[in-house]
Amino acid sequence: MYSDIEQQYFLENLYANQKKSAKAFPQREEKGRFNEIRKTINSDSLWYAIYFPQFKNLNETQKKNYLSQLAVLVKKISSNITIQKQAIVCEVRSALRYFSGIDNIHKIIKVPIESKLKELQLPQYFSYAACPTVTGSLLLARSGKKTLVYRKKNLRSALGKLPISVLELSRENFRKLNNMGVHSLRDLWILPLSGLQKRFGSDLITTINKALCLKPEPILNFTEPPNFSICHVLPYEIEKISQLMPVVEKMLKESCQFLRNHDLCITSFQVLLSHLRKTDTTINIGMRLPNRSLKHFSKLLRANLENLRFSSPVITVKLNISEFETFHGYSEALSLGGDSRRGGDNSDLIELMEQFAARLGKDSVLKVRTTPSYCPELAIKQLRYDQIGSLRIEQEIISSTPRPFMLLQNPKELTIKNGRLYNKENIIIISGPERIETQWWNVSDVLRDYYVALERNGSRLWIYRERKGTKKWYLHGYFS
Amino acid sequence: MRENTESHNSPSREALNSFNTAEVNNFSSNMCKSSIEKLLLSNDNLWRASEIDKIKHNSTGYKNLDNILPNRGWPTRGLIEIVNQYHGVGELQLLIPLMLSVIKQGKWILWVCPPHTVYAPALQQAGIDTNEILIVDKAISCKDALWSIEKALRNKSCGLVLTWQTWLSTKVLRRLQLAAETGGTLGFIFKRRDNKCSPSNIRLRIKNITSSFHDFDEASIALIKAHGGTQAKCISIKLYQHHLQSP
Repeated sequence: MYSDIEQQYFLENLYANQKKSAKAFPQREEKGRFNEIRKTINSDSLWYAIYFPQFKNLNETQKKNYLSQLAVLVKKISSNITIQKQAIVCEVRSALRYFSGIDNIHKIIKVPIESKLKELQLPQYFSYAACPTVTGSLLLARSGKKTLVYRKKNLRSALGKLPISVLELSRENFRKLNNMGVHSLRDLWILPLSGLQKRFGSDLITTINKALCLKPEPILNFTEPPNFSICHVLPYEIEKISQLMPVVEKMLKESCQFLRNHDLCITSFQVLLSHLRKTDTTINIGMRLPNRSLKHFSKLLRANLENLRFSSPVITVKLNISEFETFHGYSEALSLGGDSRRGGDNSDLIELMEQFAARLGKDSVLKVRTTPSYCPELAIKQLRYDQIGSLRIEQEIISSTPRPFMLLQNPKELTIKNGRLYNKENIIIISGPERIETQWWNVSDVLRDYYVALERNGSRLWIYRERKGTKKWYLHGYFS
Repeated sequence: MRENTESHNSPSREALNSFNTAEVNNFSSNMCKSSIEKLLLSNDNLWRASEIDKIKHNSTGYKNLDNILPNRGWPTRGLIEIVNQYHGVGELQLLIPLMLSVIKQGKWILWVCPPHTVYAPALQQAGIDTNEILIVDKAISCKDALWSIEKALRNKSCGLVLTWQTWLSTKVLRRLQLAAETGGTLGFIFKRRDNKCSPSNIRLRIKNITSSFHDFDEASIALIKAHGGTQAKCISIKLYQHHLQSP
């Protein structure tokens, strides 16, 4: 399967062009620096790259998400994993003896990767290669050649055969190199690097140096995202919330301990209640700010459960936490000066809003803001709990004419009795009209004359008369 | 002989006994009084008429109204009921100065179950920052509304809780009042019907005096009952002056 390249093709050439090489790779000129860099590179590493060309058309978030899921599968052969562009690269030198060779390693990871790709509804193919550098293995895998390079001294000859397309250069740079007659990496070796750097930038030189193990490759080690899931099978069926709460609180306590141990916090969690012969009840709790307080979690869950009616007794309780955030502690003692009024410590209020949202639903907690519109019903915008990104909202400039505190969502039609306007009692007009003509570009254009009026029972009203159609009178608001 | 002498020079045994008993009774009653006193003092929920001056008050912004309220203003915490049979009689105009002062203190105003859409342009006209206002929609059950009011009254970030309810029982009002005392929050309940046994700090009624149609800006406010108040009083104040100007 693998072609172990032991060719010495370019070594002689390299020796002959020592001076040229020294110019091409400036690190070599500084002997001390070169040695120092070498020290940082683990000469025994063997990096196994798995490249997924089908990820090219995915967006960055999807790529990151899919690669993370696939990287978890590679965990069984190596703990040293890094996620690169469209690829996963893992260190396998230490696993070679344990798994009896690279072929076995490949067999172990091939099946789960293919099934995962199937699950993600993506084409089930990938290319792979292994060599002593991360960048080198990535370039080899990109070429589609299933190559294995054991020794570092063979890197130059192995990589030299690759076309320059593996470098994933911009279209302009690719065209320039082609015009220069550079078609493979081997053509690059003989060119003076100072000139290349001037024409194509330092990124190209850095990539080549990294691939040839001439420059250290700082890598970000992949760590599996934390996941917390706990399930309690109840010894007896539970029908009352008061009986359920101690069980859930115990689970929440464990989750808080987990969060504390991992220095994390969360913005949401899910409680799944399984019933006997009925569909499961799912409770999703969300928070505005990351939190890890058991007291707060319990309050939110209790607020949610209090409004819940179980269709049948609960037999299993499951707690799932899938999204985590890094915990950022703060010290009250360090909050120096500033505007104490807007000190940013809205934690009390945020907790209250979260409790409201947990019990009453997100649609029940609102904020209002003005919008620049002449149409009265369009001059206001109600924001739902989850739409309130920032607690403070910039306000728009408003009209100076009087507006009522309470606006009827659906204007109420007024009647005329004995030649007088009538709602619950007789109405007289105090001031007006204020003519509003807007929304002419819509089918339902607004043509109204607004008046401030007084009802005999003492209610101060905001009424209007339609200037089109039947010219009816409507009650639109109360000057409460 | 000796006995006779003793009887002349010193008080008799009976007299002595009776004196001692009175002393002991007096002493024990004093002890009892002081311990009861201590017990009563230790209870924060016990309201004393003598302590009315100790509670902090804010001016209502209306001189006439200040004059009829004990301590010449709204208390900073507790429960106030405003009884108004109809909407739009000036119930919110009355609270504009209070809302402005609450927002100035950096606290929030929570509106629970307003009967109609709270109109942001009107709030802005009154100088009220809508960023400091949260609304709990009216489309919730009475039980949930009471739960929300209690939670808000207990919350220290809320300076003012405004709620609209048709009628509330004495037990519920007492519970809300205790929540307001605990959280240091002021709660206003706009009701259609009065509850004579209400434990609220202040009960006001906005009366209809518009027998003629010439007093648009005037509202008549009657003090039904107030902690520390002496008797029911009625005043009229001007609320809507700017609305009379034609656009």
